[in-house]
Amino acid sequence: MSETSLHANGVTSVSMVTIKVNGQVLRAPEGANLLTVLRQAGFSVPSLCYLEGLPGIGACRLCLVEIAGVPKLQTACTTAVRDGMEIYTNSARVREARREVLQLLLGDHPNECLFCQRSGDCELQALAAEYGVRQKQYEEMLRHFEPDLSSPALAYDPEKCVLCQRCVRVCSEVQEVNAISLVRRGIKTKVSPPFEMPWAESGCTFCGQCTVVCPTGALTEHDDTARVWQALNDPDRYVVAQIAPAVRVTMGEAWADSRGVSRDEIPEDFSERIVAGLKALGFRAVFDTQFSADLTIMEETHEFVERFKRGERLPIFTSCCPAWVRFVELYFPEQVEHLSSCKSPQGMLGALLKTYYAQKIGVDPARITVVSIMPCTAKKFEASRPELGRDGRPDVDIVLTSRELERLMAQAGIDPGKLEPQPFDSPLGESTGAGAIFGASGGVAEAALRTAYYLVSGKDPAPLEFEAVRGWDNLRTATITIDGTAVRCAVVSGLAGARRLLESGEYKQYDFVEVMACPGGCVDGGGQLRPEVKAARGLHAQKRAAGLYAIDQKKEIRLSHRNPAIQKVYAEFLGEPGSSTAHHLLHTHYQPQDAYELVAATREKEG
Amino acid sequence: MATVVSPVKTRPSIIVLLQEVQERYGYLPREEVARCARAAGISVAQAYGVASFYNFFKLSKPGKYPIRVCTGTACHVQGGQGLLERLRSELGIEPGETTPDGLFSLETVACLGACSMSPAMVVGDDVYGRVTPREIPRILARYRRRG
Ligand code: SF4
Ligand code: SF4
Ligand code: SF4
Ligand code: FES
Repeated sequence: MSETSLHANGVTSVSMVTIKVNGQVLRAPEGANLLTVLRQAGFSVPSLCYLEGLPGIGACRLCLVEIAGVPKLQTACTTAVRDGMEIYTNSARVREARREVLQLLLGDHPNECLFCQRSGDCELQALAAEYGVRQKQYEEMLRHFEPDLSSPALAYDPEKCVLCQRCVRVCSEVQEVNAISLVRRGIKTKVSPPFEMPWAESGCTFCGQCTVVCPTGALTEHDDTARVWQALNDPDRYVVAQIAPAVRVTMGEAWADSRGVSRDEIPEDFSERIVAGLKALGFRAVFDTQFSADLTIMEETHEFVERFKRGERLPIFTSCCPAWVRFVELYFPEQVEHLSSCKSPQGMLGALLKTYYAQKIGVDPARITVVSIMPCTAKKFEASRPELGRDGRPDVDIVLTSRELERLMAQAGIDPGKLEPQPFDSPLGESTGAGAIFGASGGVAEAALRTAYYLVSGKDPAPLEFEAVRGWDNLRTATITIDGTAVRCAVVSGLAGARRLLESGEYKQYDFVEVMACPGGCVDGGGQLRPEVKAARGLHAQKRAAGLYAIDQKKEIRLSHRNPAIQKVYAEFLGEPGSSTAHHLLHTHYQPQDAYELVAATREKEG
Repeated sequence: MATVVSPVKTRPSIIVLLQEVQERYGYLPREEVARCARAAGISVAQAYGVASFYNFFKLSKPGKYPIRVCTGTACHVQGGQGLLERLRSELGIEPGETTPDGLFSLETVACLGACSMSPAMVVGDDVYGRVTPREIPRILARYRRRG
C-alpha cells in the first residue's frame, strides 16, 4: 500500500500521456487512478474494495494487473498513470493471481450462498463464478463470530465480511459520522462500533449508506420480509401498506426490462404497479406516503410560520429524516430544540391509519398492520422508537426497504412490471406534486416554501418552482422573499455537510434548514437498490430525482394546501394545522440521546 | 472532519497517548480512549481500532482476581493448554477479557517462574502448582464464595 494514490477527480491541470493496455494504445491523464482509467476505457478489472470517487486503498487485491518492467503484480486502484506504461489486465498470470485471492477469501467464507440475502447480487459470488472458482481449497473456517442483530435497521455478519472497508470509508470519509472501524487483528478482525458495543447502542445513525456499498451479505438491512408474510398469512390481520416517493422512481431498475422501458430514460412512475403487486400479495389497501408528505407540509409550515413570526428557535430543522434526527440527538444535543416537532410522513400516515382510517372502515386498530415501503434503513429504526406510537402500539409496524420489496415480489413470483397499474386507495392515497419531490434533496424545502408563501401572503406563488433549492451541491442556500419578508433557507444533503453547518455555527444565519442524511436525499437512500458500480456518491440520484420532478410537473395540483384529501382530513378529523388532535397524533418530541457514555466526551470539539 | 489530521498543528500519536493511559490505569478505560482520540484528532472508532489491534493494550478492566496461566515450555509440556481450555469454558471468556461480574480476568504469561511445579497458574495473589483441569471448578468456587 505504499504506492501513490491519486484519483482522477482530484487532479487539476493534467497532461495527457500515452499508455498501452493489452496491446491497445490509450491516452490518459497523467497521475489519474489506473483502475478508473481502465474501467472507463472498457477494460473490466475486478474489485471488492474500490469506491469510485475516493482514493484506492489496495485492501482486496483483486484489481491486480501486470505492468511491463515491474516484477510484481500491482493493484490498479493504488497505481497512478505514468507515461509509457504497458499494462496487461487479463494475462494468465493476472488471472491466476486473482483466482488465488478469491480462493483465500472463499476459504474463510461460510457456504451459505443458498440462504444469503445477497445471493444473486453478491460481488464475491459473481467473481467466484467469473474466475471459475468452483471448489473450496480450505475446508475449515478459521473465523468464528456471532452476527450483530441488535438494531432494527442493520445486520452485520462478520463471517461474511471480506474486510474491504467500504463501509468504514463511507461512514468516515463520505458521511463523516465515524461510527465504525476495523477492530482487532488477524482472524479476529471485523468491522465494529468502538468498544465492540452493539450497533444499536452505538453512535450509528442508521443512514444505511454502508449497506449500499457492501460487496457481500456481511452488512445489510435488517430483513423484515418474513414478518410481512406472517402478517399476510394471518387471517385476523388487516394488512395495509404505504409507499414512499423515492421508491416509485427506483423499482423500474429492477422491473423495467419486463416492460421494455429503457433504464436510461427519466424513470417511469412505478407507484401504481407497486400497488398492483402489493394487492396481488394480499394487502387490503395501499396508501401513499406522498399524501402524508402533503400533511407534513401543512403541519411543518404552520409550525415554521408561527415560530418565524415570533422569532422562536430559528432556524427550524426539518424532521422527516430519522438518520438526521438521530444525528442531532447524538452529536448536537444543544441544537435538538431546532428540530420541528412534526413526525415524518411515514409516522403521520401510520398514526392516521390507526385512528381516522380504522374508524372509517370500522376495524379495531389493534388488528391493523401498517407496512411502509421506504428507500431507507433509518425508517426501520424510526418505526421502533417509542415516541412514534401510542398505547405501546407503533404507528408503523413493519418497514421494508426498496431492496426488500424486490425480494418480496421475487419470493411471490410476481413481476410488478407486467401488472396492470392500480390506483392508490382513498382517502389517504391522493397527493400533490409537492409531496412527490420530498424524495429528492431540496424537495421538502421547496414544498414548504410553496405553502409558506400562501400562508404568509394569501396567494399561491408563481411560478411554483423554487429552482434555487434544487441541485446537487451538498449545501445550497437561497433567500426567498414573500410579501417583502426575506426567508433564508439552507438545504443540506449528506451528514458530512450537516456536521459542517452545525459545527461552524453557520446554521444560525438561516430561518429554515432542510437536511437529508443521504447524499442526494432519499433517492439515494440507504435502503435503495444498489448500483452496479459502487461509488462514494450514488450514481443514480440525479436520474431518480428527475423522475420525481417529472411527477410533480405532471400533477394537476402541486401545492400541499390545495390537496382536497388533505382538506377533507382536516375538516372531518384533525381540525386545523397545529390543533390539539394534530399535535396528539402528528407531532412528537426529540431529545438528546446518550447512546454511549462517550458521545458526551467525543462531541466536545478539540480546540 | 475528525479524520483529517491538521497539517499545521502537530498532534500527539494515538499510540503514545494510549500507552500513557495503560500505564496509569493498567488498562484502557473507555472515557480515556475517547479523550486520547480527541487529543490525537481522530474519531473514537479509529482510536479503538488502534487500541484493539495491539495485544499489548488491555481493553477491559482486570477482574478482582486476575488469573494468569503459564504457557512457558515446562507448563506447556505438562498440560498448561488443558488448564487454559478449562478456564475458558468455565469462565466463558477469552484471554484478555473479564467476566461480566468483574470477578475474574484471564491472561496467559510466558513464564511464572514456577517451572518446578508446572503446570502453574496464579489467581489473585495465590500460586497454584501441578493443577489439573478437573480441579479448576473447585478453585474458582473458592473465590466466588469470597466474592
Ligand atoms: S448506517 Fe450510516 S452512520 Fe451507521 S455505520 Fe452505516 S454509514 Fe455509518
Ligand atoms: S461489512 Fe461489507 S463493506 Fe464492510 S468491510 Fe465487510 S465486506 Fe466490506
Ligand atoms: S435521506 Fe431519506 S433515505 Fe436517507 S436516511 Fe434520511 S429519510 Fe432515510
Ligand atoms: S485492491 Fe484494488 S480494488 Fe481492491
